[in-house]
Amino acid sequence: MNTILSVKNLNKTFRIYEPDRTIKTLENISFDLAEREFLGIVGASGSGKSTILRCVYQTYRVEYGEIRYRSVRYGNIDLARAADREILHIRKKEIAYVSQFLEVLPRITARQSVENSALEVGASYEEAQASAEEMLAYFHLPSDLWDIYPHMFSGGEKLRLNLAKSMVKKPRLLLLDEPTASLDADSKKLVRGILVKLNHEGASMIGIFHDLDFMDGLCNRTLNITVR
Amino acid sequence: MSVNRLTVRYGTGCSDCENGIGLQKNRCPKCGTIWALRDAAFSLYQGEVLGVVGESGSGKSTMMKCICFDESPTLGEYTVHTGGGNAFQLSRQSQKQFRNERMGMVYQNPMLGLKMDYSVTSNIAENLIASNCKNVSHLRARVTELLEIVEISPFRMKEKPKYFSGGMQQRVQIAKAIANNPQILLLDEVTTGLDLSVQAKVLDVIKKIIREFNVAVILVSHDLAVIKMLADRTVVMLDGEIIERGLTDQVMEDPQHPYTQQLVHSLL
Ligand SMILES: Nc1ncnc2c1ncn2[C@@H]1O[C@H](COP(=O)(O)OP(=O)(O)O)[C@@H](O)[C@H]1O
Ligand SMILES: Nc1ncnc2c1ncn2[C@@H]1O[C@H](COP(=O)(O)OP(=O)(O)O)[C@@H](O)[C@H]1O
Ligand SMILES: [Mg+2]
Ligand SMILES: [Mg+2]
Ligand SMILES: [Zn+2]
Repeated sequence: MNTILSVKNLNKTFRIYEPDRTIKTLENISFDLAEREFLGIVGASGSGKSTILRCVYQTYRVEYGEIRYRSVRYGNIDLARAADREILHIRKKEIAYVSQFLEVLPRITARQSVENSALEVGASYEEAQASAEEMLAYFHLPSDLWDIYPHMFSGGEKLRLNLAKSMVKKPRLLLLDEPTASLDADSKKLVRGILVKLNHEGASMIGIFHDLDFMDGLCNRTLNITVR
Repeated sequence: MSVNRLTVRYGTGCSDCENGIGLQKNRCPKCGTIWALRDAAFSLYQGEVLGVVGESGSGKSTMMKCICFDESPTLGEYTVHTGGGNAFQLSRQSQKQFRNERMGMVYQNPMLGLKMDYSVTSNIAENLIASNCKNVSHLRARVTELLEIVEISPFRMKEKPKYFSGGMQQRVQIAKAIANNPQILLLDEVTTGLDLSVQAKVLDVIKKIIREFNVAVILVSHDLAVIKMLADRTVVMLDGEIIERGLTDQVMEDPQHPYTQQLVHSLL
């Protein structure tokens, strides 16, 4: 099987100036992810699970180590050393990151934000319209919410919108940081369903889930990290 | 486009400050020279939004003014993708033409960008006429179209901007700036000083322009929230220097410089 992501000796230290502190969070984390594999990351709270995903997505800068990713556009690329422009492209077209925190852009309707997402990966306007509706419906967002601004949505509705936005892109690599943390059981089932579907269609995934039952049967493998 | 070693100083400089020694903020106490901008370098790519953030006096406007040729730097190279060479060394005439055809600038102070006693139409049409659109019905059609983009009723095209609210004046400036479909749009603190609800409307218009036209934008603001909402990449300025740069979420979530950390924490 082809490796899509290979993390080697990933190190991350946060240096805070006020108050003066140094937080060594990751030390020599290494793992590979095969294409179509679903890797779960487990570890105590504060062990650095989110930091790993955020380094891969490049929201956090890597202190030391390599994150080799096999990109459609750029071939084998070290995300830790890629140019900003390359990361922006990869985020638009190849890698998605979903967390329980949603940043809704003000004054963009739910429908527009999912459509924009689809347009970013190169869908035509008609395709984007259709797939946006399909996704909003899939995540059971009532259609009378589609054309309003989501800052009024409940937490669960925002989260489902967030998921619809990421999933509509059918990303090659999906980074999931406790996306189901505040969802009810029915919504969790929907999330699970779409993850299984995308995984079958070829997406590779790394996920952090507080709910181990949710991971059971979903992840092919787990990576255990311990608090330093 | 890209700029390198961009430096603007007011004063003669001395052996100390020219080597970066002894500066208090951006001022040399020995010779009194102000280094408004020092060794700034960045690139701007097609279709991206670059945020420039920093406190008042950090050199943001000076940088914008150099880029649109309002001001000549003390030192610096400016590469634009048409033709090689240093654009700072072009003739005034070529610089003016380049600016008119390929750049739009929106000033924080609408008095700098608009002639307050002329109609909205003549303000916006000025750029069109300068690039040889002289047919009156074409002009009117284009002005109407531009006003619709910035969400001002074309019925008001004969009015003078001095009677408009601050938010509307900014939108007229934006209409003027995008009149010639520029490749580069410079927005200098366009929402600063406006009421929140008015800000939202101006930001909406900017968002729409970013989405619908393939224009590269430099968005200057001391307001991190605005930058966070719109910019793909961000540079942080302090005392005339760029002290940090990166993807906008990197700068916000994993700030490296003490000043950036302070700035980000004040947003939370
Ligand atoms: N942006 C940040 N700035 C400073 N410290 C951080 C930042 N992000 C994470 N950390 C630190 O890294 C450690 C691990 O955090 P995290 O990756 O969120 O753990 P987990 O997801 O496993 O609960 C924590 O001690 C946290 O304080
Ligand atoms: N004509 C001038 N003479 C002397 N100092 C100036 C002049 N214009 C600007 N400055 C100084 O240059 C510095 C940068 O100003 P500016 O670019 O307007 O900052 P910002 O836009 O970030 O608030 C400030 O310290 C300002 O006082
Ligand atoms: Mg976490
Ligand atoms: Mg200024
Ligand atoms: Zn001096």
